[in-house]
Amino acid sequence: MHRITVKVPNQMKRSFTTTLQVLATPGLAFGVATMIAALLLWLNGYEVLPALVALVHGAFGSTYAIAETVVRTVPLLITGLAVAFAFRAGVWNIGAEGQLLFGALTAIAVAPMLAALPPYLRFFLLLLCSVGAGGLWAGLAGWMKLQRQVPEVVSTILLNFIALELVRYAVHGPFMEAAQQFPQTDPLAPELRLTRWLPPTRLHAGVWLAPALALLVHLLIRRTVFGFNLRATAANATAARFAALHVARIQLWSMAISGALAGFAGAMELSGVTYRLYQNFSPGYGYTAIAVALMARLQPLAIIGTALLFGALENGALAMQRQANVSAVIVNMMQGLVVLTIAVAGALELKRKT
Amino acid sequence: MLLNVIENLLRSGLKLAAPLWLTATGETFAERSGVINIGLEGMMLAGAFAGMIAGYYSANPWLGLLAGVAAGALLSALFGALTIYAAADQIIVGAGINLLAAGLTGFLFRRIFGVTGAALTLAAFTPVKIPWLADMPLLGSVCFEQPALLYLAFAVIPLAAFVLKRTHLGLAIRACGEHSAAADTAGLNVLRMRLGCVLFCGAMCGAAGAYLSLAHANTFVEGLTAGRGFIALALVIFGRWQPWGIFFAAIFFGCANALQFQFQALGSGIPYQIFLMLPYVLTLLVLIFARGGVKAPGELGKAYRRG
Amino acid sequence: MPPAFLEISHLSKSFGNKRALDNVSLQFHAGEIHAVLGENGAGKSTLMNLIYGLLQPDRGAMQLGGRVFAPRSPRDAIRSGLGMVHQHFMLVPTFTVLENFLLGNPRFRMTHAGLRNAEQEVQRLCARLRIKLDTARRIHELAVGQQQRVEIIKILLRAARLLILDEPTAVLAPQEVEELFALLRVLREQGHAIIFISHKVEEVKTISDRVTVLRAGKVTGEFETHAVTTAEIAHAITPNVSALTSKRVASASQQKALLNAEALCARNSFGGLALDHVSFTLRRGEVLGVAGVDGNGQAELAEALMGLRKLASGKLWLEDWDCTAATTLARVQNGFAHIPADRREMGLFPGLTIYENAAIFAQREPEFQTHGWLHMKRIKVWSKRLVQAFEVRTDDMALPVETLSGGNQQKLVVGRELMRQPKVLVAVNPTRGVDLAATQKIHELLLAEKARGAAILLISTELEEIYALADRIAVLFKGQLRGPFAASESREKIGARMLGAEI
Repeated sequence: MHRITVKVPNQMKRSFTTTLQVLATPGLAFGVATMIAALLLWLNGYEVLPALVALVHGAFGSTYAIAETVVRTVPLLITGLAVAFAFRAGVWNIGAEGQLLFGALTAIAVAPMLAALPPYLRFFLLLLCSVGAGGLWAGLAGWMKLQRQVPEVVSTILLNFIALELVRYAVHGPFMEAAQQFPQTDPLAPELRLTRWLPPTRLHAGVWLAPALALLVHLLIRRTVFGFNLRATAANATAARFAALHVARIQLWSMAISGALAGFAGAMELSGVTYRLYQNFSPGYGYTAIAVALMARLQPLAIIGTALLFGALENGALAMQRQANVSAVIVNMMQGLVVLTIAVAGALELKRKT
Repeated sequence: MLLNVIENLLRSGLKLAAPLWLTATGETFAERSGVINIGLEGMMLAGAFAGMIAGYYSANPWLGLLAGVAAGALLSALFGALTIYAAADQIIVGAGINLLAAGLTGFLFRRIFGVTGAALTLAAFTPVKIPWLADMPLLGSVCFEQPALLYLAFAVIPLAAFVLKRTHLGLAIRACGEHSAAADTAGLNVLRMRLGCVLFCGAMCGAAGAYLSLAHANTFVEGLTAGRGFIALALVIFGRWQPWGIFFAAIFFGCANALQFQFQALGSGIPYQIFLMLPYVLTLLVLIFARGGVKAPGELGKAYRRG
Repeated sequence: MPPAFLEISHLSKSFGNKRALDNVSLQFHAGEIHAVLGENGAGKSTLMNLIYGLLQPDRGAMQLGGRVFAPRSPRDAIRSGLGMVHQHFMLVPTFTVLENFLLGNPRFRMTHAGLRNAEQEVQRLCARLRIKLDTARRIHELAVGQQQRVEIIKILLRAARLLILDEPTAVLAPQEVEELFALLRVLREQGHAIIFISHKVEEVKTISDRVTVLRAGKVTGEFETHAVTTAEIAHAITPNVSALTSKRVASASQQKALLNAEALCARNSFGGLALDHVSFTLRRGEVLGVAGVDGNGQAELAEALMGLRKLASGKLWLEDWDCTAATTLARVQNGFAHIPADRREMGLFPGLTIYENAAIFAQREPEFQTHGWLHMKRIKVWSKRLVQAFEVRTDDMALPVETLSGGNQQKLVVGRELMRQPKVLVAVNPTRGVDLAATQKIHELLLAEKARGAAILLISTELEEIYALADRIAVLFKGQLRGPFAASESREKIGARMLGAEI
């Protein structure tokens, strides 16, 4: 047997240049999106600089702003992980939005049933139910793909709408608040809420969980047998079959885990931020998550950064709307542009390689 | 009484179905040529917005339709350039297009009409009664007392079916989606053929969007399309990539949707949200149970590169 | 001699540093079947791609019918009267035969009358070629030989004068080869120029009028077929033909049976019978060669043995273990290994690193994981050992696997199986598309495995390879296994059996 010496300098050099390469594309994408957005503002007669200043200030200008940016980041980060996990496994889960909603709805539904249990157990079970519900919702799409050849792109989108209508029904009907005034549920019992660290901001005790989850997903993908098999399956399903991997089972589990993550995001948002469920509970986190995940090139640790970026953008955009009268939905447009630029960059890279 | 209910159901079902079959027919052409476009929702939204703007300022719904078609086609040109010529992933670009269109239309709408979005009244398409035919019992008012745009939408289906089945163009389109290399060696320009189909798809989405703002809602709100683009995507599978199949799938769907209003009117006591959910659930069930044996185009979703 | 129909002069083409084609001049005549022979990578496909407009030459020129010919695309070539029968047919499988003729051919209108005209013209052409064709059938319902005929007629309907056939017999059963040759003779009679690309000397001797041999991008032989022997042609293709032989080591034929296949039957993807009561016994320390023309059930046999294709009937035993219904995983864990026919399609994981590709089996072993967590260091050390042991040349194992050359990729795929010290190795075309050095290395490795005591089923379409390695030789024809025969059986007899002869 040979002794192997690892050439460190060579590896360091490589990791440095790859770091640069890794940052180049998302940087370019964000630059393109910002420039087009600025151009659009200018063409529409807005004062560009004050608007952008308002945006940055709204995102990072004060403790309050920063705290709210972080609050906004958490669901984006977790759903971003959900999307990245599925995409890494080669399944197109466009349904993080529905899985998040279904997870939150399940939490609301089971919360009263747990009343007799001790608080910590209750909270834990609540999370577990959301995670399981999200996993089931996505697993349904996975089952349809594998057993009935229904493309998951279509089924997950349909399931998004069904989850949204379910929420709408729940908050108008069986779970409507006791006061029967607004279409929303009663707030969660206080012991099911996460502690707020910095009132009056909504910064809650769960925020550290999101980056921890990113690390966990990173390790799951890079350092476990399951993650290895998942990447192999995505790279070449035929070869995976010859290597005795159970391709269908791996894809089904990837879908379910992806949905479980999204469901977890729903529970966090519910018990940390809103306490109640209502129709517009999610302002499209599950869709923004696609941009978040792609901009991070599906790397879980990088998603911490891209989620923060989009969290800041969305939070800052609200301030921009108030102060410069620029509609906050412009952020959606920027997300779309980021996705398009990343997609093209990816294709061109592939072309260069082959 | 019952006849009346059925008449109303079909009437509004048909109205609800038209934008769906328009969009789904466009998508059929794209998919038959090998391109899956999940940006239908965004292209419809762009069409609805542009249709509204042009209709509002010109007070002429036909100009609105034209603007809608142009906006849809423009967005699909972007989609086509990225997916066909730069060979970027079709699913990702489609998702990006949806985000882009939602943001852009929302931003411009609030810029022009204010953050609150004052209620708009548009010069919309009004029902045109076709003499004699409209006096037929039942079908008369269902089929022959509808906005002019709906009659046009009717015409799309046999035309699309004819082109796909009975022309060289249709043959070429299908070949591009089944075996692009074979189409290429037969002397066809696969990329241009696909771009053409994607542009047609965008134009149809734009027309469907303009239909929504100018003949259906007669106004515009953010997210007016409300997921219809995604429903259309599912209808293409439901209708088995055939224009007539899509037509009937869309009508089935439209009527399921229209049920909701009927039941509300009748005061059945069933919560209306159930009916809002019904179309999606039905589509999903159909996809699960009624797919037997029909395959998607062989190279759907794959970019074509020579060599 | 009349002037050439197509004349190419001094064509050269390089890819990077590699000279794919070096100053090649050739003449192709009407009414003549001109064979172009050579090994993989000799420059045959580069030459054809230049003629067909898929590539443009660096230097040199072509003349077609006395005029300058410089096609920029296949479209140009088609318009000038060229037609190519690709190895993978360019037919739309879900279309009917007639629809494939109509595709991109606006000469036929798609009205009722137009379709009738088209049908009549097709039937007239078929009559002239003395063949029958049902134009209403869909392509995927047709046998491979019929599909090839459709392809040829499609080209003729576009008024092609020069036909290029790229390894047309590789996919055909022997009887279909006969039918193809009959058709080609008719076409020659009617004045077409035909370029016949091949690497099989015997069939070239049978069908062609003239032979050009390419080696490493250069013309190494030009012959009139009737005036040359197969040995002379073979020498021009590879000067040392004996390179592959004479390495066989004595096998222990007294060893007991390791793998027993009893009347295996399996269906192919279209429902036809791909394996028809295949029975054989594989002993410890022997190589059983399975010869045959591609498409006679080779892929299905490998898949069935690896548990990836359901058996319709039959039994499979590994020693005392009935593994007829065992999963792929169970088989792999109990000593089955498999070298796939196509490493890109079935072996490698693009985008994953060389480490990871090497470790796809190993990482699941208890040695490399604890409760599902991988020991990355051990895996890396192990992968390096594999790479060194099997002489996979690489600078950096953290690079994606597609950065390796073809031969090194194949050595990686082979090594990854052999590292597991399998009891039974199913090797399908283990040296397809790799250079001679890598071929020799892989052959050495297989023989070393045999010496260790592994039982090897060598499924190969290269008779040379079978004779170089196998102790016994069986022949797979239309899903039926004939033999096995002794390795001393003559090539003529084995070859005849590959063509379906019952001797």
